[in-house]
Amino acid sequence: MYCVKCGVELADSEKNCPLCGTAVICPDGIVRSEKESPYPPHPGKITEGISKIGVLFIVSLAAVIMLVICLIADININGQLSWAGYVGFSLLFLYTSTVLPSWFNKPNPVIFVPCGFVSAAILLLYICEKTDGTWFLPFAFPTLGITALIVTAVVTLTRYVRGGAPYIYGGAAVAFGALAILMEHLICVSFGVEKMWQWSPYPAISLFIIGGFLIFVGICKPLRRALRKKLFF
Amino acid sequence: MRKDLRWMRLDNAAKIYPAARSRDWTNVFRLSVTYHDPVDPEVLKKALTRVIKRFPSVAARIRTGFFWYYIEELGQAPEILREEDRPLNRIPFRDIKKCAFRVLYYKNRMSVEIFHGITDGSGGIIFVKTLAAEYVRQKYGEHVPCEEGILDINDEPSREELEDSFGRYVSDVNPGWKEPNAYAIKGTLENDGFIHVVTGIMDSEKIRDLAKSYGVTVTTFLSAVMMKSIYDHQKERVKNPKHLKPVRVLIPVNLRSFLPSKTMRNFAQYITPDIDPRLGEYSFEEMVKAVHHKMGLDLNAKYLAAKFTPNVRSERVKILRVMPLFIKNIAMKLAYSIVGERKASICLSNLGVFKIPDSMVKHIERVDFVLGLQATSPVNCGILSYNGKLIVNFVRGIKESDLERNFFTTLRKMGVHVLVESNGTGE
Repeated sequence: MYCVKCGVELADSEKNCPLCGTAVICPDGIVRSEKESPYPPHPGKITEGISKIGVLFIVSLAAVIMLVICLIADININGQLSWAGYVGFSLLFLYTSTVLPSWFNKPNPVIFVPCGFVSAAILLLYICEKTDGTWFLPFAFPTLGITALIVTAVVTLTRYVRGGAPYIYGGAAVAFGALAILMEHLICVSFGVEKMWQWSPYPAISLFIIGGFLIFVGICKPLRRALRKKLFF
Repeated sequence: MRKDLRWMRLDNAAKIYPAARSRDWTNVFRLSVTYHDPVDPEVLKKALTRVIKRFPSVAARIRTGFFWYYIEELGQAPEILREEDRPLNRIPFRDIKKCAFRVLYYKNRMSVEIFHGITDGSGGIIFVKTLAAEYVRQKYGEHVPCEEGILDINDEPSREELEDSFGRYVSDVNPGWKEPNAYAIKGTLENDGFIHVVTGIMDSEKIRDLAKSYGVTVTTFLSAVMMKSIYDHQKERVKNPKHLKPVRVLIPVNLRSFLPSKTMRNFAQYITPDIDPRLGEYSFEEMVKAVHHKMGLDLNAKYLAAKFTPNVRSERVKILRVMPLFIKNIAMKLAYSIVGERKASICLSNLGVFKIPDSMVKHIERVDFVLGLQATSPVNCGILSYNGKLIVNFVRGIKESDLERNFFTTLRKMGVHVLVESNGTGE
């Protein structure tokens, strides 16, 4: 058949002229042998996901721009580095703990969790120095250090020890309970508070109970099975 | 799988393609061979497995280095895929990093879609001919001699085939040229990313006779027809003569015809014949002359070598070489989006006559060359001749089909019989 408008012959697979859209006209008595299209049917648009690297690049660039603007503004206004340092080290902490691991396909938490704590320690040290405080070494450093150790131990064990979740989280709860007591002690020493045992027994005892219960769940198989049956989701 | 896989730098022309890619666009072209019988994917896989060893620079993938992208040959043949989507469906770059081409089959047709960073149309044709020949050998038991561009798959690839020939022929002269932006074809983008493929099949003898009547080659003649189609397209849309823009057709030129090279990698330049409608009305004869004289002027080894010299020189600048890849990518993407596609209205690529031995001709019904869409230009045109037929494939990402209508009806008015086929409307 020919297109009545364009004058070109149309393949038997065409229902309309691909050049002008006119429907194929079959004069009386002529039977057209319709053929299948030489191409598969179009399944519709396949939407592509947003590029992760692109997003990370934009976020990183935004962080750098924010930092540079703060530094310029601070130095112009105050003639020295003052509040922009807080912004800078806070950004470093946020970036290290959230964005940095995303650059990797399989980020290893055993590496990135301590990195996050190190950047938090740097931020606290900067605040302590800027405010002429004396609390970093006697209080912040040991508290943060022990928290980092516990969290790193938990993520490492969770990653590499299979089926040990009740023991790991139970142990972590007990450790955090002990940390609460230690924190109160360090506060007393660092800030000259005379009375001990004011608040730490409450979180400590609660966490000891939770930790003890989780360890018991780990030991007692029937209890574990019953809990799984009741609480699965 | 072999571990000592060959790797090569991207050739000079290829460097822009990985950098200029976007989420919606990678520069891919397609060569299809339609047999008389349905394609057997298992036989095709066996043929491909044998052929890829002969083409380490084509059967390859793009890898990312710190400073540059590079090509690494494939250790094993990729899967043969059943064609289930539009032709030239975008290949995501993460797939190109695994394999820079794909082999598809649909009914009687075998198609190879190749990322342009690996090779150009001429290199692609040799790969496809060799693959088609091996398939015919295995499927039909035919003896297919290694001639007409079919390579012997038992030979080792030579050094010349793997070289970047741009570097060998770099000139001392930078011609320097400034061209104003050309008329850009615009239209309503297809919402779901559908790509129209409209094929016109003509008698190549008739086209050759017509070209001869104007005293020019087939490519010159068809370029002039394309120029007239775009010229009419612009005249219909732009009423104020002051706003008219030059109509320029980008014609890729196979450099192997001018500068001796056996490379299987990119080795093409382009020439851009044009007319400026602001100077007045142009007749078809004047357009033919414009293309003919521009070709006569530009198609010589010295000028073509000088034309790619700035690109080769810039890749040799030490300070640029040590820039990390992501900075190079930003710069190249910017340069491509500012200059890349604004200098020409359309790309018309004629791969010439697809010659194959007689023992293959009886099994192969048709051959198509479909050029991928460019990043912003919504229409492109690929041409080749096979077995007495000239096959013109338009690809289009917009709804309006005026350009190909102008093209085919112009030929129709000259007395050429045109059979038109398409991939439907996507609805």
